[in-house]
Amino acid sequence: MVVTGAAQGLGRAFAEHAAREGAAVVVNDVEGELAEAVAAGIRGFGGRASASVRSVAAPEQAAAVIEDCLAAFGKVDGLVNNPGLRHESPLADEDPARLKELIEVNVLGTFHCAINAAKVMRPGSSMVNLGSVSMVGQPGVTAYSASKGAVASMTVGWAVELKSRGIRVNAICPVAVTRMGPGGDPPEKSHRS
Amino acid sequence: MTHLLSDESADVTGQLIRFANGRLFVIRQMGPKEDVAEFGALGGALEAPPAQRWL
Repeated sequence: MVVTGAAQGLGRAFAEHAAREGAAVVVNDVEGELAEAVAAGIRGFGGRASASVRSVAAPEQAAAVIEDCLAAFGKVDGLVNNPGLRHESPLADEDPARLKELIEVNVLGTFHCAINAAKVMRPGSSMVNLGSVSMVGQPGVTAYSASKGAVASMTVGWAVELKSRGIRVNAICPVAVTRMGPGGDPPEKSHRS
Repeated sequence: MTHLLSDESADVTGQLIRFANGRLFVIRQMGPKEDVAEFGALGGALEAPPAQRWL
């Protein structure tokens, strides 16, 4: 299985817990050293894991993440879409470049991975997207909440579309602001949610 | 997360799920909350083309 944004925070917890339950996990993140450390930690307790240091915001790199899983473990039967950027900004002060980057990671990154996973997933496979309770709109973080609204829409659409193939799609909606990058508190960026 | 990935949730798909108080809850998706007007009292506004409605 693949967990994106898995170098820290919730993504790391998802990867480690799944590995303890027996899953072979590709730990994806743009933070290379951290991703490698998480994968090494999983192998340290006897789990199976490899790191995939790529940005899911780029279509070709997202495709490579799925290829990494196929190469390492022979199949992709699970995908946790957990890329996450988040920043706070009043609407009038929103920076277009930062807004674009957030949408590219949170929305398109999720889309890119799902597209490529859907091509190779077999019946019984499962995708879980990271939504948020802010998905219906939250003042001051509307870029983030809008991206999570998109994730909710994608989840429902993909679930219906893939049901006939025996592939399930759900989203979890945490109530938490967790670390999104090295340093800051809470940091603004990393491919996790 | 692991539960949703596993066959333990084989019947669960298309759901938005929240964890609270040690349990997983399906979040209600959009539906009517409360009525704000009777259709018949809108005076045909819903049928009017947008250009006419807002000019």
